[in-house]
Amino acid sequence: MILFKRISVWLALLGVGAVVLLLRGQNAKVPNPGPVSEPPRSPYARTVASTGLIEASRENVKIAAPREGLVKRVFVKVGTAVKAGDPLFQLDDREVQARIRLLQAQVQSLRSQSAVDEALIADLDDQSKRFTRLGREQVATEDEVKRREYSLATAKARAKATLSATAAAEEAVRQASTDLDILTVRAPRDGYLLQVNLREGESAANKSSSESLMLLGDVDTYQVRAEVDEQDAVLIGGESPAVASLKGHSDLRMPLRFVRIEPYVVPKRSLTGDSLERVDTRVLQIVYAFDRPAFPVYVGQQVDVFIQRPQTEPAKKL
Amino acid sequence: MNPTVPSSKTSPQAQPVGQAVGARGIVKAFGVGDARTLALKGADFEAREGELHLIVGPSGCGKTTLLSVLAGTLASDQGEVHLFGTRLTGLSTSEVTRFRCRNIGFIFQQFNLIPTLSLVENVSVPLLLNGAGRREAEAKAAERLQQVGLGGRERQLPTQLSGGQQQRVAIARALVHEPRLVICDEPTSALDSVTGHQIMDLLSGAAQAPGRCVLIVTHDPRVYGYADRISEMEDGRVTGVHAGESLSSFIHSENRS
Amino acid sequence: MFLLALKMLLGDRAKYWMLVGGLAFSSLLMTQQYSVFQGLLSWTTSHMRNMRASIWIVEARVDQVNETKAMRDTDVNRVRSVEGVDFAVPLFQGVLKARAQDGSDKMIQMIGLHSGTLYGRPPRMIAGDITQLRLPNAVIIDTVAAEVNRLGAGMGRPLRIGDAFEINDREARVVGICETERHFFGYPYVFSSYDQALQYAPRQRKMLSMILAEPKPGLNEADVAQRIMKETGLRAFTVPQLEKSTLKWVWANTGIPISFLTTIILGFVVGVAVCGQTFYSFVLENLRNLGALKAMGASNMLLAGMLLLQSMTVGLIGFGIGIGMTALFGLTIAKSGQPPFLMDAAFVFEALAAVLLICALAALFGIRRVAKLEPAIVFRG
Repeated sequence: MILFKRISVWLALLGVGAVVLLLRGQNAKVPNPGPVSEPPRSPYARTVASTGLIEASRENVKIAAPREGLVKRVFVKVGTAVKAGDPLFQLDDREVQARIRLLQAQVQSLRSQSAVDEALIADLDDQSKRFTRLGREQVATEDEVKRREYSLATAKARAKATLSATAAAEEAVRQASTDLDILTVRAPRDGYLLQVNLREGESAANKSSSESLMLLGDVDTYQVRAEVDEQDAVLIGGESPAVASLKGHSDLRMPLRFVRIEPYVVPKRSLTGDSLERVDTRVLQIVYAFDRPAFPVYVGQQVDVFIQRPQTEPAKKL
Repeated sequence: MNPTVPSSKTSPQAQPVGQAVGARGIVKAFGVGDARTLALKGADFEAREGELHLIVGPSGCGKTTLLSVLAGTLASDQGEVHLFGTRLTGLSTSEVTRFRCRNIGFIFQQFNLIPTLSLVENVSVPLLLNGAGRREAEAKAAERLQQVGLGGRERQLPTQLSGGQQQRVAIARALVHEPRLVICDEPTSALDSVTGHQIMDLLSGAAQAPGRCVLIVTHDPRVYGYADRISEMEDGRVTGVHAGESLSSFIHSENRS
Repeated sequence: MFLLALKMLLGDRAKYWMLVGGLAFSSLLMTQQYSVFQGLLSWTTSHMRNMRASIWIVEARVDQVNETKAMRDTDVNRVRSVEGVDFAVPLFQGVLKARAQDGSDKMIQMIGLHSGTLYGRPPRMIAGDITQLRLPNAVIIDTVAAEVNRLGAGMGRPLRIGDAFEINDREARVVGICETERHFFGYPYVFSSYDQALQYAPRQRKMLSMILAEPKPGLNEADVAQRIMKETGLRAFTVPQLEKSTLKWVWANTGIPISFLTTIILGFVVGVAVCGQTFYSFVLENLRNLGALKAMGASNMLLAGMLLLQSMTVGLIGFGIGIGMTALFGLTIAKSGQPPFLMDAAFVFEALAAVLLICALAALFGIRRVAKLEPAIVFRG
């Protein structure tokens, strides 16, 4: 063919080749790399998705101090399992101890007084008995005998008063001991310390009210507080089954048991933690319970919750 | 070779046997309105097979127009043209074109070789137009070039040749498909007299072929001697036909003047 | 005869090269400008190639991918609640100011990926491990961001893994480097986890820019997107839909398409003018020869075919050379990515059609002239 003797034709063919090369290079598309871990997926065909926080099953107990005071000792660490009555922390007790020591000294002194009284009574009793005999023998006068009798009676009465005072002082010691006991805060029930925001030497009551000194929870059964956008609230049917999966580990799933729907729709908790944030989203909270799964879960962890949607749509008729 | 004629369009009127070209009452006007001029005013013309026929006359007498009409390249306003028994007048343009392609060879004053094609390619054009294959056409063309004395120069370009050589190529081209009518328009006017005679020798040789007619328009008196017959034209009409005795006296008088 | 037609064309070298050159220039102008234009347009949608997802969900009034109107956090869950959605994750997108080592401020395109799945992560990592994005203050930057005149300023070398810079006075530590397609705004990409991105970004009432979602296997993306729109009131796009919408926005709101279109049309006009002129003069010059051919019995059809063949030949060759130059241009700049360049396979054929149209028009002028030509012309000296 005459055309192929021409350089222009080869240039043109070269051009077409370059185009093919370029287009092939351009079309080399890198495929979608996909998610690095299992994305949160609903096991149900029709679902209402929400996010929730894991809580201890009974609501967590915020431990407070009985009164203001310096913290003397903290007996537990975060994560310590405690039985009801186990001490958690102790406030400064020096004042109460001093009071106890004072009261005990008083008791001691009153008890010494009683001993003196008894010795005096023994002496007066002896004198009284001898003067009574001497009186019968007409050796002592009537007056002398009576004087000894009255002295004895007086001494006995005084000893009785001292005993009462001793009892009162002992009661005061016992009261002071109770005060001492109150300064040691004990676990109100079995549980697991989720937070300890207290260190020895700190003042116990100066903590802001939003933060508790210690947070005691139950960790064998947990609950999840799922927050559903108010716009989806109508889609929630009575006691729908649900599953939760850990944020970032959606393959770790926990079946949930319905506990209750909080009847009051609340502003959404913002996880950015800014209390000044304005919120225009309100959420319906639904509480589910679940048992401790095989993998570790922690209270406060975020979970993705998928709630099964009831088969029938809520009536949309007006 | 017997004149075998396409029968479909044969005129019902029988044409004289041996007649190659017949034209009667040809009128051709150019322009419109005031600018309208009659180039042919009822020209009659006849040429026979086997003859070399010259059409002569002064410039502007209409001889080129007549030639165009006879060749079928120009439609006349009136009159009819018969070529080898085929009535050309009344055929459609494409039928005329096909007829021309098959039966007519052309030689032009300016040779009109295609400058970008080699000699053999130029010569093979009529064969190609008639549907021949390239190889076959070029083989025949090379043979023709050999015959006009240009063997071995097939691949040269026309611009590398002298005028006479170019006209020989044109003759080869005109004859390559063995046409029955060869039409030449002033074939020698661009050439010197020696070359002109060589060309005329070739053409008169071509006219020897049985059943062929060579028509030449010329006003070059040097070539009159080659003619078998001369038609003289003036003012759009054929005013005289010279053959035999009258031909030699006509040539004599023309050459003298 | 057609072979001879080609020889006639090629024989006239000056005219042939002028024709081929004019058409090559015209093709070059059209395809190169269109490719640059396409490249520029493709920059406006490069988000969709740097972050991969089937369905993109945005606020109801958002028309294009580069625009962000924040949604509420819970909207992710609302999308997840739509039937047919396999999964859905949040995405933060915003232009932030970063501070390089030398203290200069650089604008960056911040992308926050869902911490768990990192869905929408850049497809091409060059160094580092994407999962390290979950570490505190970790970011992955693209190669553009790493450059010395970007975040590498003051380092004297491009940023590497382990280097740090600041975003809004927070430390950002580079844990990986990826390759991205350049964005229209020219800002380099910096990826972090969604939670981290919220820390970097100036705090606003709503921070969720986009939601990326996938349909359940076997479901049609467009259908699921439609359902998401119906059920949530948000706007959901499939990738082609979002591309289309973004491009529509660019066409409606910027002067870029008009200016490029002008050049492209100019290329066409230049092609028509040069080629038409030259070809017509080529025909005129050969008129006597064409007349001779016509006299010798070449039909109008044959001559038209020959002219058409000639013009189409120069068209094809000119186009091949022109588009080849465009392609070479594209291949040369492919490495640097500047200026934008994207050759559209469909447009290659459209441009070819345009060039052949030019040639057909040019041939048509010639054909008209030849058809009118009386073959008798050759008899006149």
